[in-house]
Amino acid sequence: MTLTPQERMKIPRQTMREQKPEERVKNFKEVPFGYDEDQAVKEAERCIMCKNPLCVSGCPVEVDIPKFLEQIAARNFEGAIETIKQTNMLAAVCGRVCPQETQCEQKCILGKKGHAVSIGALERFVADYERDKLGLKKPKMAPSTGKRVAVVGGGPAGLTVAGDMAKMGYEVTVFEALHRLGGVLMYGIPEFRLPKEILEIEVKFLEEMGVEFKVNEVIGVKYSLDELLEEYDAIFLGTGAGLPYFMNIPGENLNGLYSANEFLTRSNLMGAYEFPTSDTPIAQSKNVAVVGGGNVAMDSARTAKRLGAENVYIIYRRSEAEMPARDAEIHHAKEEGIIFNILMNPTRFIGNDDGWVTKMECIKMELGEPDKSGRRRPVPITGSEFTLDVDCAVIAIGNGPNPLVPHHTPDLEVSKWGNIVAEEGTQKTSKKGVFAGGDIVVGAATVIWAMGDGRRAARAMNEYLKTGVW
Amino acid sequence: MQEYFAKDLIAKAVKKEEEADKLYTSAAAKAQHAEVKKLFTELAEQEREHKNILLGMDMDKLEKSTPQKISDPKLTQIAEPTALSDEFTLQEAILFAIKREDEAYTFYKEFAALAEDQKLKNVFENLAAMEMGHKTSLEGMYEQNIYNEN
Repeated sequence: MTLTPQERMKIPRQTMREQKPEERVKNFKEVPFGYDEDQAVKEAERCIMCKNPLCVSGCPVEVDIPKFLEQIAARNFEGAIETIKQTNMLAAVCGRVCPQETQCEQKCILGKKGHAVSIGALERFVADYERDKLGLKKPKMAPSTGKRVAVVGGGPAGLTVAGDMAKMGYEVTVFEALHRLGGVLMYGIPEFRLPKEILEIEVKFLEEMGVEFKVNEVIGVKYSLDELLEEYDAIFLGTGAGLPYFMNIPGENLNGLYSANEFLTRSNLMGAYEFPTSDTPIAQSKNVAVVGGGNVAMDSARTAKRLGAENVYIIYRRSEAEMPARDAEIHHAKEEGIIFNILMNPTRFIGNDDGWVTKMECIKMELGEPDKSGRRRPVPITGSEFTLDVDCAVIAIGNGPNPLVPHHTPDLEVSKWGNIVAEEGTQKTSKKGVFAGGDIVVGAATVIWAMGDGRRAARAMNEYLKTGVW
Repeated sequence: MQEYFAKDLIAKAVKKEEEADKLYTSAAAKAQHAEVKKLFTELAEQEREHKNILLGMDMDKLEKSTPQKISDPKLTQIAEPTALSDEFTLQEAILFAIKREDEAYTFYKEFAALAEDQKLKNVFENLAAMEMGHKTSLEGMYEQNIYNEN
């Protein structure tokens, strides 16, 4: 039975069942359970099938969203995942961590007067359905070209290039500096948002496609790019934005202060939340302050809560409306009892005689005149300083590009912000045979954006290896 | 006498910009990392532009005009000052430059406060506003690329 647009618009937005806040703050298991089949069909039926679907233009890899929604509505789940996988290799990941509300869902016409179709939740549903019920299907592989490609960095951009190049018949080796693959998906995003098992299955799938993975390999130190080019016909650099920034304020060297990068890596990659079962500890804290308002800050705060902190504060210098974090993460953080101290900024950290942080001094802010982007700038209110008792603070103000490869490769052009300069569309760098993409080129962005770069790089790399024209 | 003072001030401001140009150019030459080299080169270029703006200033206009009001977001006010180093990271390099602009702003503001003559006060205030403009522009870059709270 075909539904009219009016009937479709009357269907309420389906919400995923999830762990209750009081339960989930005691564990690291994923928060939402995902849709069941009937919910997915109902949610997909909400799509009014616009003649000119704007949602597609909101997706950095242009997934054919109306088509896969239509397939879900017709219970053709296998067809739906095939549609997504034509442009997105990591659907189970993107369905969980993409900021859909600022991408595809923001463009959905239903969102103008109510709630957009939950495109991300549906993407997750079909990806999980494939993994759990169908098994991952090996794509059609082209015959071997006899050429070899090195991918530096096993994050979303690198994994995308690896998959695409393997499909096109190239022998691909991924060099990863850490001991596990996935890049920021592994060390940055907690288990309760992205179960590591999902990543491991995706990596195993790439292995089955013939991709070779070499972990604990720090390119730039162990091998230079020139040395790699002696062994490989082309290189892709997807080394990410893993350099944490601090605020350079007094007391930042005290014990108990972490960059969000270190804090999350200890927990996510090294399994510190399972200490002493795992080797890496993390300090048990009572009062934790997290400075920042993005997803990294939310992940850190929610991790701290799960590690047993009584009070966890988000310290953010703007208003909540301007927080860059996904709506879902802010919502979940609040449900879990994270205290939002907005319009505040730290001015210094105060420690005891043993060198441990005990307090943090903050200043209150107010919104001043708009800046170039039109957002009102937060300005400090003179004399409004106050202190908070903290025994742990996590700085999540931002990350810069990993400097290792550029610092060891003088002929690789970088921008004044340390990003590798790559040609838009082909991802070619200043060095012949070397391509780059993802956060190392554009700065800390989204998983799907990095994957889009990877896809474009693979296309251009194939062209280069076929023609030899740079 | 009044004219002499205003011209003298501009000459002093020009000298400050020249010194900054020299400092950044030398820092760019010594910087160990390409991105820091690039940033300092760009900052040196900006100082040359500032110098040209100063040289092209109409003294009469400057004495009469009310300085543009630019509020200071003080984003980096709390950051600790750093001495110039060849091994600067990008963040240290831009914080260093912001602190320099802030010092120049304070310099002119202090002179504006001391000046008894309104025309002279205006000149100082205009120069201070110009330096604050430079500082907020650098802070905008800092905010967009380093302190972006993502």
